[in-house]
Formats: sequence, structure tokens, C-alpha cells
Amino acid sequence: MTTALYEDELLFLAHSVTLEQEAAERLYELADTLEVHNNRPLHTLFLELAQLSERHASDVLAHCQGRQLPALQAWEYSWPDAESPESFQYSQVHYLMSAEQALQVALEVEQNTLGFYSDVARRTTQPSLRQLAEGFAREESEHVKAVQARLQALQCPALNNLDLDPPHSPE
Amino acid sequence: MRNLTIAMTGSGGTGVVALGEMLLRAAAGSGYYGILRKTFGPQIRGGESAAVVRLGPRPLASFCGEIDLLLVLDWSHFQRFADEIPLSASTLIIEDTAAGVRPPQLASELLAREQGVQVLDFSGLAQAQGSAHSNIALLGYVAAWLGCDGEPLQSAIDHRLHKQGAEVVALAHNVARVGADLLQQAPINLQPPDVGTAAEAPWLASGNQLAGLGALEAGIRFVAAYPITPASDALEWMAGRIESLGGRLVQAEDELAAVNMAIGAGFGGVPAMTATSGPGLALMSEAMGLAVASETPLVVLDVMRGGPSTGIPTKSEQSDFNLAVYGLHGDAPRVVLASLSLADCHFSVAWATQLASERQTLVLVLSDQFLGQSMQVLPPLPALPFQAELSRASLPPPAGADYFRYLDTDSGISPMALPGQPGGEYTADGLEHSQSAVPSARAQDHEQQLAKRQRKLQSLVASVQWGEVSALPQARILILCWGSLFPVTLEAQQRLQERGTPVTVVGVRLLAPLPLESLLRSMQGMAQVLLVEQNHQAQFGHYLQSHLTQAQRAGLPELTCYSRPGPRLFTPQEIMQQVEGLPRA
Amino acid sequence: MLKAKQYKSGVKPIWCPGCGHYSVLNAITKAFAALEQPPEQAVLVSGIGCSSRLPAYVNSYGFHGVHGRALPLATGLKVARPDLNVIALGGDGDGFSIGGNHFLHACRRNVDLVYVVMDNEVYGMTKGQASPTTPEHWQHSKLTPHGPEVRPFQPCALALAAGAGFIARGHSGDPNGLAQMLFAAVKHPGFAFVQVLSQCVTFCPEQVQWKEQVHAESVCTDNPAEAAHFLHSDDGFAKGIFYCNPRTPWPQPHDSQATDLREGFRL
Repeated sequence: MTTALYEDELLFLAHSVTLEQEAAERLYELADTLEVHNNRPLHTLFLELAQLSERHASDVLAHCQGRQLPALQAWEYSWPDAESPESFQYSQVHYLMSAEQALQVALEVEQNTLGFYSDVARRTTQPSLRQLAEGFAREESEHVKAVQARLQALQCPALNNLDLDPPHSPE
Repeated sequence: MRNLTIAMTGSGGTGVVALGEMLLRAAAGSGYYGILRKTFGPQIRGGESAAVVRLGPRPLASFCGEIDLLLVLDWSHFQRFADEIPLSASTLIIEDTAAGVRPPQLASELLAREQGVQVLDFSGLAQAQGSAHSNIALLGYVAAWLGCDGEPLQSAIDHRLHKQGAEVVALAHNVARVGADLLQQAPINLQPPDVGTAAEAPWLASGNQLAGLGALEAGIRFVAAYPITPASDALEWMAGRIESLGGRLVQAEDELAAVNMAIGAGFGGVPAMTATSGPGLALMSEAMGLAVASETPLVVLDVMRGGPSTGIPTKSEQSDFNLAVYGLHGDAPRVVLASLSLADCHFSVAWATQLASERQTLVLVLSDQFLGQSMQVLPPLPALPFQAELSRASLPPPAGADYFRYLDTDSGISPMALPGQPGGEYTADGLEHSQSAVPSARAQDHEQQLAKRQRKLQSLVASVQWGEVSALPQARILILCWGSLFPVTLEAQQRLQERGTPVTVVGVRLLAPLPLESLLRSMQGMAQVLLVEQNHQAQFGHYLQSHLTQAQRAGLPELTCYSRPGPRLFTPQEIMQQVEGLPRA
Repeated sequence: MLKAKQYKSGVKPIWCPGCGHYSVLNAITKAFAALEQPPEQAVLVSGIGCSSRLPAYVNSYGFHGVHGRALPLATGLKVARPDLNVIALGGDGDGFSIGGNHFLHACRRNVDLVYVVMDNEVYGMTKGQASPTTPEHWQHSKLTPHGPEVRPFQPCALALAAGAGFIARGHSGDPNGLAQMLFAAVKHPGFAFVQVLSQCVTFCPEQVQWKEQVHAESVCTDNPAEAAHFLHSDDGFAKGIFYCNPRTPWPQPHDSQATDLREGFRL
């Protein structure tokens, strides 16, 4: 990650906004695909996670009121990995996945995001930026706890979700 | 009203085809009408070849099967042409000294003839002038006999040879002149054909060229081309001219690419076509179905040749009928037209261009090698009213409304959005779809769209352009034909009338959807219907009969199908023979 | 100016959850946003296969053609309508098997369009047959139970040999990087080829490992010999823009005078 991210508050905010928005958009996409593939419980779960994520995105946006954020192309962000840390990767879902599996990934992405904000907080030399990043990190740790709680609350163990139907060829 | 048919044959570079072309052009320049066809052996160059030119005072659109005069520059492999240059006892033969050994099959027969064979030294004459072109000496000789050895001949030589340079042209003029002079010492014992008086200066054109003209004049501005005999020259004619109109021709890597390119252009709102022959048409079937299903305008010209498979590439036949009318998978209605003459190549392709855009579908035009590659002297063609025009969507749709690309309408034609228009975005699809262009496997969508795509073509059966009817008041026999057999059938009609047997002739131009009502109406009052077509399996005959209900069949005059394949062209005599052989009603 | 998500048509994709093509769709919308692409000016042209379903998911114009023929469709459209942004796309079977001939000629012909091949080394739509890029010993198809036993094509090397002036490879695990490649591909004058390693979760679940195997290489040479050496030494998992050597796109206008079409027929 470039050092600019640790020193430039507006750049950091631009990253945060995109991070939260992409997370929410991705969850909505995944909710859609699970609906198309008739996994009702997971569709509902992802919808809930998406709506939650959207609220987080609004919170971050609130921090940007009246400030002119830099406009970045999708590939100009400095993420630790290929995609923004809070986005589920497309490859992490499966039509037969269980709630437990989904929440494990949710936990992972929240922890990644926590790590991202903590890292900025630790490295920055700008006090106001440190304050901001620490605040976001605290928020994220709440999200982590919330997901951990959901995981624990899960009552049913994952069943052997083998699909007895073979794949179908629609065209 | 005297017509005459002159055949000329040669090989190994004797330039017989050039001879035929120059002769026709010279004759046209002095008031003759005529038609020319060429025939070749399999070699690319230096092979045996022949040209047949028919001349007369009025426009000639067919050949008559008789050869009055045969000019031989070289006898090699002449037997290859035995079918298409049938010699009779009265054929006058003039042979060059260098013509070589006469075909053994003919030799004895020729010797037995009263008038024998006239041998003249065209090669010697040419060589004396320092030229190897005995064909040009022969050209001068025949032109003098026809009375066109003055300016018309010079003009014809200039037109053909100007690219070779002034020296070659000057030499040719000399050689032609000495050939012409020969006529005085060695007259041709045959009366030349009658000359005509043209109202305006005529045109000289091939069917493929006229097809190209029809396409460009009606608005084709994208052509995808893959070479195939005998369609390549239609594509080449357009290649040289389309850019000056702001259009473009692309040579594709194969027929599959060519037809899909044309569909891409059509989707973009640019009237598009491709041209091919049987084997290429077969390759194109999948994509033609895509044009039908996605409702994309597409014109495909099929210049038919001998089939099946590689068949007889340089000969004419009407055997792609089944492929054109039946050959798409699924229920895929489309428009199929057939060109009724060389001039009609212009008309039918222009009409096809308009129809493709108007109905947003595939329009196939069936021409053939005879029409495509014969050259004719004909009266200048009138300008046609056909223009490619799309039924456009009014975009963007009003607020709150969606645009339905495949909207089910009374006419069956949905307004078409074009890329670039905001509010009309849709994805065209070969998959069955709903009105809103979303892929659909539902029964009601399938039935709706199938019915719509068929319905949008149905009104065509009432077109006045469905066919041409040449009716004689006393006629009780009707000869039914389609496509290129129309001119020769008209000639048969003329001869039959002279013999006291008036017949009516119907040439069908619109093959699909079939204009059944119009056809049945034309048959009213007839005792007999003779159907003639140039394929082995009576393809149109079966198609027509499959449309008849029991009642219609019962009410029809007796139907006789005479179908025989290429490579021989139909002759008027052959058709007359069929008429005379019909069982008496 | 539209945001990336506004380029989505709202039609929900039928791709399996876990499919790499979602990422490519994402990248295309991001590239369109970066290009400020008016949706009505773009046309996505596809063949047949899972990835060929993509045009319906974007709110531009589209043409879902027949198997293997996206490139000629796109070529005809672009030549007739040079004002449009035309992107051809499809899978490895569609593009390199039945569409192979068109691929070669598209690289050579250099019409100004982009070709994106979502390569999952399998025929997904028809239930998992080997494709021209399937590894030699992949034995999971009933059609080739012993494996193809034939070496796979190297699409980027093929593209170079056939004359493509822009060659890139992306990975569905990196939609942002892919968006950048697509942005550059659209801007490139002439034919631009982008191969995307886009996993098939249903028939090739092992492809999830690609994430560990891909490695970024910023080669981007304009020297064909250098590119050839790179592409022939490449393990198939390098990602980046490898070759960028623009040349004048085809077709260019010719000088042509207005013609009287009927002139040549008069004697």
C-alpha cells in the first residue's frame, strides 16, 4: 500500500467509502444469485448482511459531509489484496453453502477490514487521520463481534449438502 | 424476325471468350440485341472453352438450343461441349487452319455433310500482321458479315484491350481489318440475323452485375464476401462501387463469417447482404436462422449451380429450391424470391433489399449461373422505387414505459431500436424470447413470437410482384415456371402461338410465402398445367402441391411436372415437346 | 456520469454462485464507468455459452448470436457502425474451438474492437466437456474419459502469432485489475484481446487454486519477439498487459469519387 494512504485523510476517506459501498453491493449481488439458485435461507442472510453493510456505508459517508473526496478509478485504490477488504470474493460462495460457511466468510472480511483500519491508524503520522481510522476500527470490531455472535447463535449444524441432481444444460 | 446463334470454340489461350464478348459488344453497337454465355473446361488457363452468342432484332433473354454457325479456332476437347453446343446437319462450320484434329466422333459425320466444313486461315492472317491473335482476325471476319466492323467493332476492341496499351490495340485493329477483308473472298453462306432499331442506346450487362446494381440502388451499404463460383463476380462488381456510396465490402474468412458479419451490420441499422452459391448457402443456414429469430434484416443472394455438394460449379441448375424454402431448422419463415431474367436480377434484389428492412427478416434471392454469368444486350433498366427502410422505434419511450423490441403487433412488425439510440437498449437473441427481448422458454412466448414472425410476412402473398403472367386469351394450357426458366418458357410460348397453340405462361418470383391465391387464379379456365423446372426432384412441384387442400386439388386443372436437372439449359423446343405431349383434356 | 452499478441491466445472472464471470461483469461495468461510456453507444456481442449470457446483464445494446460467431457479428457491426464501442465476448470453447478460425482472422484484421474470452478451460454450459484450453490430463469429462491427451492452446501466444496488437490476461479474482485492462483495451486503436482466467465452480472446482498461482507481470512490450519469448515461456498464470503495439485499425477509408452506378453498362 502506498504511503499516501496513511497520510492523506481525503484519500483514506475515499477508500473507506468505496470499501463499504462495494461490500454492500457485493452482498446484494450474492443475495440475488442465491435467490436465483433457490437457496432461500442464504438469500435472506445475505440480504440482511447487505442491508447492514449499507447502513455502515451511510455512516462512513456521514463522515465525509462537505468534503471533496478524490475520484479514483477502480484500479487506483491501494488495497492489501486484489479487492477491497470487506468484499466477499465471488469465489467464496456456493449454491449449497451453509449459513455457517457464509458467516465464516463474513467474519473473515470484517476482520480484514478491521486489520485495514488498524493498520492505517498505526502507521499514520497525522493525528486527525489516526483518530478517524481508530474510530472506524472500533466500529469494525463491533461488526466482528456481531458476526461472531451470529455464528454462535446458529443452532443447526451444516447438513451434508450433496445435490443428488446432476448438472443441467440450459442451452 | 430472324435470330441467329453463333458458337465459337478454342483452347490453349486462343481467346474464344474474349472473341465472344467483343462480338456481342460490336453487334450491340450496331443495333443487334443478343445474349452470350460462356463455358469452360476445368483448367484455370489454357483450357478448352466456348462462347455462344445469339443475336437478333429484339431483346433476347434465352437461348434456343440450335447452333447456326460454329467457329472453331481449336478442336481440342470439343466433345466436352457436346451437350451445350449440339450440332445439327444444318450448322455451318468454319474452322481455322490451325484448329487441329477433328473429334473422331464428329469427323465422319462432318465429312458426310454436303456443305462440309469451311477452312480459313485466320492464324495466317494474324501472323502476317505480327500477331498471334487469330481470334481477332475471326472477329473482324464475322463482324464484317454482321455489318458491324466499323466503329462498333473498333469500340469493342478498344473497350476490351485498352489496358494492354496502345500498341496492342493498334495491332488488334489491323488484324481485325484483314479478317474483315477476308469476307469478300470467302463469304459466309448464311444470312446474318435481322438488325433491330433500339429506341435508346442499350446496355450490356450480366445478371450478377445487375443484381449488384439492384442492391446498391436500393440501399445496401454493407456487403460481406466470400468467393464462390458463380457468385464471386456479383461481389466483385459491388466491391468496386460500394465505397463511393459510403458503404463497405469486407472479404470474410469463410461463409460462416460472411453471413454473421452481414447480420451484425443489419443489427446496426445498415442494410447488408452477402452472395454465395449452394455449398455456401448450406454453411450459412444456422446464421440465416439467427436473422429470422432475432428479426435482423439480411439479404442473401444464391447464384445457384449444379448440386448436390460440390456438384457442377460452372453450370446452372435450380436445385437449391428445397434448401432455400425448407432448409432452416425450427419453424423459420423467411422470404424467398427468384430472379425471372437477367433484368429481373436487378428488380428482385432491389425488392429483396426493401423487404428485408421493412420486415426485419431474411430475404433469399435465387438466381443461377445462367442468369448470373450470361451477358445480355438489353434496353436500359428503369429506376426502381425500392428503398431499404426500417420501421423505427420512437425512442426514448414515454416516462414509465419500457421499450419492447419484439412487441406483438397486428402487422407482426415491431419497431426496431438501433444502437446509438438512448432508451432502446436491448439484446438481440437467437434464443426464443418474450416481447421485451428477454430469453424465454415459455409456451405462450414461443407461440406468440412464432405467430408474429410468420404473420409479418403473410401480406406479401398479395404483392403484385409475386410473379409475371403472360396470358393469351385462347389459352387452355398454362406453363408454370419459376426463376430463370421464365425467358425460355416465354420463347416457347411464342413459338407455340405461331404453331396455333396458344398457352399462358406464369413465372413465379415470390416463392415463399407462396402466393397460392394468385397462382390458383391464374389457373382458372385452364385445362392443363405444365410445371417446368431445372432440378431432378421437381422441388417446386412438390412444394406447390403440399400447399393444396383436397378441395383445391380437385378443382385444379391436371398438373404435369417436367423437371430435369442441369447442366444443359432448357430449350424452347424441349418445352414445346412437353406441351405437345400433354394428355388431351 | 454513471457509476459502475448503473451499467447493470437488473436482470439477475444465472451463473452459479462462485462463477468467475460475475467478476468479469463487475470489471466491464467499472471499465464503462471509467470510460464514461454512454450505454446506448456500446454493444456487447456474444456467442453461446455461460459467459455469452453476459450482454443481457448490462444495460447497453447487445447481440447474443450463435455458437462461435461473436467475432464476425462484432466485425460486421463495427465496420458498418464505426461510431459504436463494440465488445465481443464469450468462452474458451466458443472462441477457440468453433470460433477458432474467426479468432485468427480477427487478430489479423485489426478492426477496432475488444474481444474478451472468459477462459475456464471447459465447456460449462453443456456440462463439462474438454475445450481447447483444457489441460492434457483432465479426466473429468465423459466425452474424453482419459483426458484430452492433446496439448491445450496458448491463446495469448496464438493471438500474437495471428497479429493482435494488444494482448492481456486477467483473472476473475482481480476485477479491478481486469477493469484497468479493459479500459486500456477499449482505448487501444485496433483489435484488443483480453483472456480472463475465470473459474468454473461447478465443473472445475480445482480452479479456485488459480488465486495462488496467478502472478502479476508488467511486461507490456511493443516488441513482438520479446512478447513471443515471454508468452512461450509463460506458465499460463501471468496476468497483465503483455503486448501493446498499436497499428492503424482496419478499415480505413479510401479515396473514392462519386460513381454513376449505371455508367459501366452503357455501350
